[in-house]
Amino acid sequence: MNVLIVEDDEQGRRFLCGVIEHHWPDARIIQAVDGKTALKLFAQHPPQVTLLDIEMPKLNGLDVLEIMRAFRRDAFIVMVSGNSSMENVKTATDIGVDGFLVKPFEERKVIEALQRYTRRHEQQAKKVAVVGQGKSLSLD
Amino acid sequence: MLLACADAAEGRRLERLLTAAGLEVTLTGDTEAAVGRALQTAFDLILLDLELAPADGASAVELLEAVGHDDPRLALTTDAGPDVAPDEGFAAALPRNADADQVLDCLARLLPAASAGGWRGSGRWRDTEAFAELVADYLGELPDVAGELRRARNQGDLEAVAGIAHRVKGTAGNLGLDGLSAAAATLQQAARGGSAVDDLPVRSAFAALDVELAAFGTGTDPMGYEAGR
Repeated sequence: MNVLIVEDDEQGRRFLCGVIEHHWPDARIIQAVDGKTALKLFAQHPPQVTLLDIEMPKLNGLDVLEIMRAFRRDAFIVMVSGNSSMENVKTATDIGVDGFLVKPFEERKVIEALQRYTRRHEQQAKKVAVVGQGKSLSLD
Repeated sequence: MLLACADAAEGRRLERLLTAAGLEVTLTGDTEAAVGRALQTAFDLILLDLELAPADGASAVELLEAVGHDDPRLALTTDAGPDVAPDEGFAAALPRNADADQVLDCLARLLPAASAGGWRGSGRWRDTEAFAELVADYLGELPDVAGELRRARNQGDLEAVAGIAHRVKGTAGNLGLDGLSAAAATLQQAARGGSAVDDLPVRSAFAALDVELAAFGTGTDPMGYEAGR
């Protein structure tokens, strides 16, 4: 699993990395500290899962989300924010998100968000296998 | 479990009842807080009043489902009954003013399933050395953070104070430093709502944060600030 973590706070990035590396030792994690770098990495190394902070300087996470969505409708993107107001969550869902994590992080919530991705990935793989009628297909 | 109830007295009654049954209960009284807690914390069960305000419980559920939230939910409603199907997004419904037997019967049906769908981690990352190292690193940085806060306060920059407090709230919370996180949250709120660093709520919040920082051998030097005024 390729994961892109976009978070300007170093401790926050280390926390998310730590949880993912502990529970998914094979995960490949790339990190960005701002929106611009995130978009560059998103295009260069398309991640399967993106954890995207909202409150970042210059280009905020919601703007980044809009651009990411324009490029890849199927990307699994989870927003990360200390602001859990319904308005903030609604804005994110209107653009299109697959999850919303609220700071301070709870380990179990981070795991559940990534488990939702793996479940979806497995379901999609099964569908492709049915469509392919037994032909050998590989998904990434 | 998370209990979100529009009526404060009914909320406290249910909280007492559930706590007596051995459950750990987080009580909230409005939709904003309920959605925030549901997204931040993993609960085995969420009991949600359909008459919450400002948005109702059904709107809260719609929003939660839009972001993939799938903790089991129980609706608290006047319309609940054995022949009434629960609203969409809820596993079951409980009548308002339900007595203890009704509440406990309902929980007995829902909680085993809820628990089975819960934690499946391979040991917690928080119990590892890497996590302890992250905490130690942050504690090492705390004097610098306190220094940033001191400078922002001495320059009368409330926006900067709120920003730094916001960061401390999140990081300290991530690391399990709950007292520090809560004090930073209070300071963030006071700074956002205040007009000057001399406002009483801001000064009180700084004082409370300094008590927490003192436990880690640092602080924002409130006495020096007072003396220099």
